[in-house]
Amino acid sequence: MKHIFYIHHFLNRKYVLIVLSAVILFVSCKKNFTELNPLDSLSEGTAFSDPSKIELVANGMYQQAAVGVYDAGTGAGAGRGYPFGAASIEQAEMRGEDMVNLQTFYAITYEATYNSASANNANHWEQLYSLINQANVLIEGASNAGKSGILPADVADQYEGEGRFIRALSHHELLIHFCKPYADNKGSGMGVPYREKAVNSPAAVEEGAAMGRGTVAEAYTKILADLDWAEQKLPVNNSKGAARVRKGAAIALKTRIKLHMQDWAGVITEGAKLGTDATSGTFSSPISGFILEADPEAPFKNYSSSKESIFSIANSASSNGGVNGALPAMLSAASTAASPNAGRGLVAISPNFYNASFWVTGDKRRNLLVQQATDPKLWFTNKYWDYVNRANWAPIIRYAEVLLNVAEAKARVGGTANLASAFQLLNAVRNRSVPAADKYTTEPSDLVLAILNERRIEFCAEGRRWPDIHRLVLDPVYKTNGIPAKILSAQLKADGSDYNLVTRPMLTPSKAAIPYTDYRFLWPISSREVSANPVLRDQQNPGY
Amino acid sequence: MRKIALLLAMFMAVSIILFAQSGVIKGKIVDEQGNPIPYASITIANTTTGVSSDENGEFSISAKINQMLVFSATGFQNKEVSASQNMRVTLARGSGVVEDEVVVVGYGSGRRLSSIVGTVDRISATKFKERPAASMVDGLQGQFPGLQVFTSSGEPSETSSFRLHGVGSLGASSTPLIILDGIQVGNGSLVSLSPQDIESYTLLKDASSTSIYGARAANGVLVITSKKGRFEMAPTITFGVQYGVSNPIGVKEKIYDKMMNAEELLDWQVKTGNKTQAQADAIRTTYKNANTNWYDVYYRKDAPYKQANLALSGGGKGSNYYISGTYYKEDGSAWRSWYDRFTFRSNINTIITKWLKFGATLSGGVDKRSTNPYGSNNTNRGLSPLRQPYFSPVDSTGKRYDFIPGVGAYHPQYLAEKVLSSGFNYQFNPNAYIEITPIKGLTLRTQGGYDAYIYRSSGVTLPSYLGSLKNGNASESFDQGVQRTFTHTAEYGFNLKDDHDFSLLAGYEWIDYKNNNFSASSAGQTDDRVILLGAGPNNRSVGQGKTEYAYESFFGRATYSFVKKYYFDASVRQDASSRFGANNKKAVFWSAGLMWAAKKEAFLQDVSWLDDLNIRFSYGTSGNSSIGDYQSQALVGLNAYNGGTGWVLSSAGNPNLSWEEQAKSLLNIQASVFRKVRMDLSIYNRDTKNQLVSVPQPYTVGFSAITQNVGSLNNKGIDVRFDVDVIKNKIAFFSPYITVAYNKNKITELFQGRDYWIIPNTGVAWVVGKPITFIYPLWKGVNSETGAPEWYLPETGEGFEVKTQKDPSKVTSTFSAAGLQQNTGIQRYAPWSGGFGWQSGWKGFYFNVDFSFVQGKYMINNDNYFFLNPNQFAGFNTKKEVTDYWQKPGDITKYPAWKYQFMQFDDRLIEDASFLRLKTLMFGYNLPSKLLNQTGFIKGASIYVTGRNLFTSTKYTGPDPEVDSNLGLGTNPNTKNYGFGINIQF
Repeated sequence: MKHIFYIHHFLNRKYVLIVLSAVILFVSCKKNFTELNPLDSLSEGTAFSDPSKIELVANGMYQQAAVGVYDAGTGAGAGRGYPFGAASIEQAEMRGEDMVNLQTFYAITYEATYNSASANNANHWEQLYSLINQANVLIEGASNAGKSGILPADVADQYEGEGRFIRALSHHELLIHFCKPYADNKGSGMGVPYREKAVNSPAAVEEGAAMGRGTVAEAYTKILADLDWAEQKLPVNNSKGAARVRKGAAIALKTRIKLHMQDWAGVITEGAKLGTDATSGTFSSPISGFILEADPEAPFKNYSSSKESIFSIANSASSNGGVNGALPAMLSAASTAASPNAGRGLVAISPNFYNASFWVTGDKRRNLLVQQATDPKLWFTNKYWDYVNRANWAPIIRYAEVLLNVAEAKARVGGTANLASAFQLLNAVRNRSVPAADKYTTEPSDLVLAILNERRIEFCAEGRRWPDIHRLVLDPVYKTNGIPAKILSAQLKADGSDYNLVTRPMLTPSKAAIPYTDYRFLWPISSREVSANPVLRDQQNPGY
Repeated sequence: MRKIALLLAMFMAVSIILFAQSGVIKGKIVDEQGNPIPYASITIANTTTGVSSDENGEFSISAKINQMLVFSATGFQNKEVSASQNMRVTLARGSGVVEDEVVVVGYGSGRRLSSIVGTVDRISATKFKERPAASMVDGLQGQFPGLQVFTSSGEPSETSSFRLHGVGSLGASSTPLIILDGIQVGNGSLVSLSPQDIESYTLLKDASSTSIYGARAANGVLVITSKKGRFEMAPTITFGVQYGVSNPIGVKEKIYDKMMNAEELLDWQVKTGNKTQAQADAIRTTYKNANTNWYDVYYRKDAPYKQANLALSGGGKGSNYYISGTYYKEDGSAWRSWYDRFTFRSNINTIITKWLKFGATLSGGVDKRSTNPYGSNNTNRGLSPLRQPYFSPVDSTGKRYDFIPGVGAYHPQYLAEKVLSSGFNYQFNPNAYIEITPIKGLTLRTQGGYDAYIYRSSGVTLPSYLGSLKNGNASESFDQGVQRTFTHTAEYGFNLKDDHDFSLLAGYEWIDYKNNNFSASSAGQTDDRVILLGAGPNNRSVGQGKTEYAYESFFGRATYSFVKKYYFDASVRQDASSRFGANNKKAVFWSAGLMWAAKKEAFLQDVSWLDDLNIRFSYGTSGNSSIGDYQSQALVGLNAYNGGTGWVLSSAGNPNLSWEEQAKSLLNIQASVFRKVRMDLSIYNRDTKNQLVSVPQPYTVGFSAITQNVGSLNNKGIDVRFDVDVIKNKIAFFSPYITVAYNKNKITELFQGRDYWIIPNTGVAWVVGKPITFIYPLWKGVNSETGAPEWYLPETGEGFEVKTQKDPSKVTSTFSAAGLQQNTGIQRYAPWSGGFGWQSGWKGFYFNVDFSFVQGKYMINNDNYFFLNPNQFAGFNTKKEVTDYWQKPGDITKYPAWKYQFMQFDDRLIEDASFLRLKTLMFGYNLPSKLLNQTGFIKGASIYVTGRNLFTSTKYTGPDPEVDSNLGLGTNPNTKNYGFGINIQF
């Protein structure tokens, strides 16, 4: 008996059953044991399978526009309102002179000490392209869903139109920061890659990486093509108001784009679709019923429902740029008489702008300013007032801008009828705010200048200053020449006495202006982009 | 009739079993002085059956009288003795390495080390059990040749990092797989286990021993075995206490004492125009000529630690047990830093019948921990040397300021009282097995175990904190991770014609892991008595995360040996994992190995100086899968927009994502000569390909990176360990050892056809044909005519960053971090590492010393950017050496003229962080048994003093060179610990 068969011994025992069943129990496991799907997100394939999900993808695109993912250089972090939830407004103000940077947070942007690795400009580039890809995902997905019958054609077109609008808006934001203006030799400067293909696999990445910058003019052509398409296909109304793109938004954005292209006639034509040719002196849009609110504070008090808002990026208590991004945190005073804990006191209104002669004393828009309650007692914007929830929406385009865009175009074209209309458009915006005594009785001698000054007041802290500096940099008459000279925070008195509407003192900015010819007028393409993209490495903006 | 025959046969079988079930042999193992040898290994010769001795050297083993038993123990030579009742076996002192013990390597039953084809190193934990550190891994530094171990901070709860044979991957983790009693555990779990409960550490180094672990084994495997009880052993109680203190290494002498004192700084500030003489005088008056060394404020002196352990072990005829509890408490050197741990363990084994064995382990730990948060560039500790010495942390009555005037910051103790954060970790590592032996030689085994934790953390900023008065905040988080491992193996061993031994193993294993976490926070609490989440009306937020992974594997191994001289081993494993793409879910790994027990050859039998010679060679593959979950999938993330849910494409996905593959060949030679010297030498070549790298993508495509299988990497090297018995006699012994390892790292291929890739913002680059390398601007010096700083201009054109040009005629005084970076030629990872020391004794005294060293380690000393930059950080304190700056033409100085920034991020900051460290020192006395016998109940007692990190030699000017990072910034340095303790056995 060479082998000893223990098994005979234990066959009699009931242990056998217990043990064997235990063994079998352990052995058996789920059939597709290693095919796991994430528990807090979904795989992409499920996103375009039915109409309700496509709506979610559209929401996702807007959320990417509202919050983004901020990368401090060491890996992705929490969202900071890139690109349109807050950052586009904050950065455009910090590149201009009407607001003063007080802390290090925006010092690099404000004082133009950026390089290709600086977080503010690098994230802007990166998050805009991330948003563009989300828009492309929506455009392709909706288009395919329309073709395959998952969506009715008009619904598919609506989503595609929203995607195209966001794509156009994003590329334009890139153009005003990273490229020379259209005014420089009709857009012959280097543009930005205009991306129209969704990337969702390594294969698609390789296909897309080969694209070069093209010219500014080519990018403008594509922006207009997208907006024309969107205007054609988007519905006039939706159930979400200004938080989602409508037909009117595409037209309104075209007035801005064409203003940047000095296509005055084009601006006038687009504006007419939104009621700017009215001769009665009051204006409202036949499309979606946009109006000017009687009270200039109303678009901000009622940021989610005002009929003056054509398109805004919706923030909410649960979804915003957070303490390091959201407008109420970043642009507001640290404390006000009403709120001891308000924003962060990072960015004040420039006293030179506050004291500017063209901003009259009783202007109701001064009600949208507030003085910081603690030292330094500087003045801040109060347009974004929800310090606790940080839910204020980010205004992208308001009816007031359409009126002033068209006013400028008409004033520049000239001729009696145009000038009269331009004057009416200016007054429509201005007269709701200024005291009766300050209302113009006759056309100001320099109507275009009056309109340009009006834009600074009306859109204070709305991020319109840099785009205007950019497009006007080579203007024959109103040229801005480059990055303006700026007041540094060390120049400001803590008691707030620099702000004085009686004596209206003017400080001499200690940060010198930077001419258009200086390389710093353009932002550098992010270092992470150029190191990964040989095509753009060869097309980096000069000087970086 | 047939039934009767069957019954008869069964009866006979049972009888034979009963006969074969020979008696239990009991005995005691002692050293030449008669002291018991605990944890010695006793095996029946030529079998895998074995036990180990208890704390008193006593053992019991089921064996036949006169059967040959093999005795082996750490520090002693092996001995073969035939079994008899009440044996007393005396072992002669030998090396510190266990020569031949039964270890479980890669599934199945234990095998004797001398019969394992794979290259494995084993170290008994006895030597570390009294080390004053919470982490069991910390002590392994310098012990295993080829294994680098680093503890990067002095936080008592710090987890050590370790890697075997170089960095195995550019993208995925290089941490070895850790197996505790057969179950995979995470590196983070080790700090929640007691080093007192560990019996041994076994490091599996080559393909032959690791391939059977498949997709997780590319970085080697560390097998940790916990203590077990023994059969037929009288209950033994072991009790130990230790008390000591710790102080941070280096930070005072190397930083605070190198900063200016009050007078020096004021004079300097006046001289450089930062202050007028009147301002300086005013400071002297206002702060009463204070001269504060801020070290005394930011670090605690003699932070105490204490430990107590109690273990009960023993066994009856059919069962044995080991039950222990350990308490460990250590205060960190920084404020608000402490660790308070209780662990318990219960290991029970039962032989139910001859053919059925069962064992269960319950192991757990409960700890509370807090870590100082003011590291990196934070003046509340990391950069606190910048504080001006002319300010004072106390008022004229000696009372501590909460807010330090002049400095304009809160006192660190005040911060520790007002800004709180602590974690509660519940660690649970149970496992159980059933083993059936249905026929001789066949073992069926099922084992299941958990590596589970719940980590709860709570943070609060009290409303009374002056920095945010009446506006407190609170956060709570919950994090739970449960990994389950179930393994089923069948192993069959048999012998043919005496000369041919075969062993076959087949197995099936599945592992799954689930993590679940959530957190909530709120702000606006107004009163210290009401600080719960609900009391904060503002900034409320919640978060939740869940993630999972799973592995399913089949494996097999065949071993064959001929006349116990020639051994052959082959293994294969197929793994499937949830982490990989739909197109590449499964992979197969294999290995083959040979061992030649050369001493057994006739022609070496007569070579008297050669005691033993074994040569091993193996080749095989293994994988690395330590990346995040779901990286192969294009994912849609959920978020909210305007009150509705939104879906965003959050990752591009990669359906082809697969395993990182590694092929390793290793030649190992073990020899012992002259009965004094033992050598263990390994030479290896390690090729990694299809590495898991988060490959950077142009942002214009919408994603910053996609995880892909790209590139290849090579590590080759040599490691060796020598043990020498210099003195070995009845009253004294002295056994020194040394381990040395060299590893050469080379990138052989990158991705996207690139020759190099600069990892953004790290100062580190991957260059094909080179090891992982630092790139930084190269400092030339100060121009003695102009006082301007000068850097070498790099070459121009593509790839200038990874070339080196040091042409004295091509320099610039305009700094650019990106534009001036060049290849420094300095490796990121240290090529040399090792350790040396000795074990020695005289009569009852013992004195053990362990040094460890790392050579060729470099680190960017980021702190010096602040400490050596007086004009950039004007008004702060600065190191005294900045007074060596240029003032007039002809001056030859270290620092430039005042108008230039003194320090930039250039290669002056890259410092040699090689170090030699006295890792462990132990001096003790075993009370003589004659004395103890008089008590009648104390079986053994020892008293000892011990120290950790008592001495460090390094050129690094930061506090601690042991930090395992490219950057040293705000380091909370490792601590120097001194302690004393007592161990008693009843």
